[in-house]
Amino acid sequence: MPTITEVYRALAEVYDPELDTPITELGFINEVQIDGGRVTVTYTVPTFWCAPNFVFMMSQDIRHEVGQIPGVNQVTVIVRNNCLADEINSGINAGRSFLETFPNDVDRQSDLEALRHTFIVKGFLARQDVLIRRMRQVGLSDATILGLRIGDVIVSGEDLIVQTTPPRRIPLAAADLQRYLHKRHRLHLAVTVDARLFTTVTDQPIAEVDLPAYLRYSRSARLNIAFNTSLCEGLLRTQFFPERQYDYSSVGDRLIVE
Amino acid sequence: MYRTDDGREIFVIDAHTHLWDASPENQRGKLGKGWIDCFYAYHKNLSPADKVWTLEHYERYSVTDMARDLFVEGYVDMCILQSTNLFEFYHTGFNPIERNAQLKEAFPERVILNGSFDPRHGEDGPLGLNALRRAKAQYDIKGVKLYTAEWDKGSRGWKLNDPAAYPFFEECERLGITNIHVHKGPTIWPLDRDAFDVADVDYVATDFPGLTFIVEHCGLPRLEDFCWIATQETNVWGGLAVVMPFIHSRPRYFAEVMANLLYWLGPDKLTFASDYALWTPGWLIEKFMAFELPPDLEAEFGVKLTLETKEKILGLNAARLYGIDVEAKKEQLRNMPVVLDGTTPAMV
Repeated sequence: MPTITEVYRALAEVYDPELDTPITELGFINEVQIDGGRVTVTYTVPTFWCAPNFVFMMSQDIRHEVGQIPGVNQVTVIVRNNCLADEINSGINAGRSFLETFPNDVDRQSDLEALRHTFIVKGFLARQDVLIRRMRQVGLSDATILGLRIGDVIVSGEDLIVQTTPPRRIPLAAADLQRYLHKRHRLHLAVTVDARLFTTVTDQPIAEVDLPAYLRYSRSARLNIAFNTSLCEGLLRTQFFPERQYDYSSVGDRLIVE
Repeated sequence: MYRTDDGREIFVIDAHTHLWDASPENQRGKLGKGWIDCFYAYHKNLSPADKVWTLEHYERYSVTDMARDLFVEGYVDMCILQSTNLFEFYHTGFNPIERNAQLKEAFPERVILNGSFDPRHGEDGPLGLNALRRAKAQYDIKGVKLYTAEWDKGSRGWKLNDPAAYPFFEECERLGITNIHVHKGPTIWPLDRDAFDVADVDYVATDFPGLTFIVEHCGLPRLEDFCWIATQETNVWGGLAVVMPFIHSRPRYFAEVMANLLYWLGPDKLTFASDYALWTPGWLIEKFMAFELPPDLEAEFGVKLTLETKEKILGLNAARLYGIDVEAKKEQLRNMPVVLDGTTPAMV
């Protein structure tokens, strides 16, 4: 029989695609019920009008991730507080695809993977932008930053040490590096020690002359994710956790770099 | 009118407001309830604690309430009423032009009334071409509010560049309805697209250079896509509804958005809005007037949020769009105190 810890570990692999954040961190999960090999996950999205395509993806991913746990033979996923919740719940739990669930509401013969990829790219740019700006903050030049190999950066506790002469310590940036490398890995970009640390999403080097325009775009992507995350967390708290109504902290704030 | 400490008079147009009825009697089942509950969550989440209304008041407020919140306590000289119909969610609609017209009738000098259309309604539907012509004849509208996420007989939305929409834009040009306010919030249809896609604005802005497209909420949270389009197309503007209240809960975020907008669009294509009754304008304007861009953003983007820029955003830009002679209007309103008692028409 699966344990609650195993189920939560699996749920931590499920992201809100738009917010680039695990649904466990966003506080979406209401309840996990385990009955032998049957697991039921109930979760709530922040608004009635949250994009049903993303909601569908999250339900699908929950079903997939929890279904991977040894001993689980049936997963039921119930989403609450969405305008198409009934359709999504019945489609997901019958194992139907998005297209099968909403045959009349899609524009083209696509699954959702192209849309998902668009947002993985935005997440990549946002995480990369944070790391580049942290390096600039400690005085590294753009040329130095763009020349770094993955092996030039070493995790030291919560900090990073960049192997320049002399070495530079970047306080509290270890998590930022890990988040960025995780996304590179997800996009099948090189993550070996001799690979360039900073490339475009197609693994091309970034020229120093292009960096300001590149970062201007990345910054927008980063801000939008930060904005949406804080908004969604706030809307969820306001409606379902009134004791935290005026808590403006957000997991999206890790994307805010001044 | 907002007066600075040294006596400068800032003319204010609240460019995106509503007089809605979302009371339980008007709700059509869970969609009507889901709609206003979502709005109320935005209101509660982003308003300062002492500006939060009760749900009951939020569901339905009177002409007098609105006039007080805007013209008496909110520094607003003029407001633009944007029609949002939602006939599938509310029996008599959410804030159709007939309901909004009550404020116009009570305060004709202070209110700009906008209509709307829906290309799925064809010639004769309630929001069809003939209804658009009637709205022009009856109210002399100079703008429309388009809500592409409206549900209609099994359809969950439409796009600005749908062929069926083109005769409507042509009719707008012909009738002199030149200000096209476009809601770009979560449009859930088509379901396999990004719900906040702003690309359709690009097509119509190119095809109808005589119209101005004011993208409400500046395409948030797709700011980068919106800025790109608005930079390319001179007739695409940004409406600050929903952007404004972040000035309280997330000032750094608000600053980042303003820096982006000033960099990409400049100070002349942005309009202030409270999105009343999502939020009330008074506190938004006070905070905006006191707001300064952090130095790091000024340096990175090379922009400044000066008093002159604030003045444009708060009123002068919208006045230019709607052909308001600001000095004449100031003079007119100065001699016309707002009277709240005894002028309230009955609710629709």
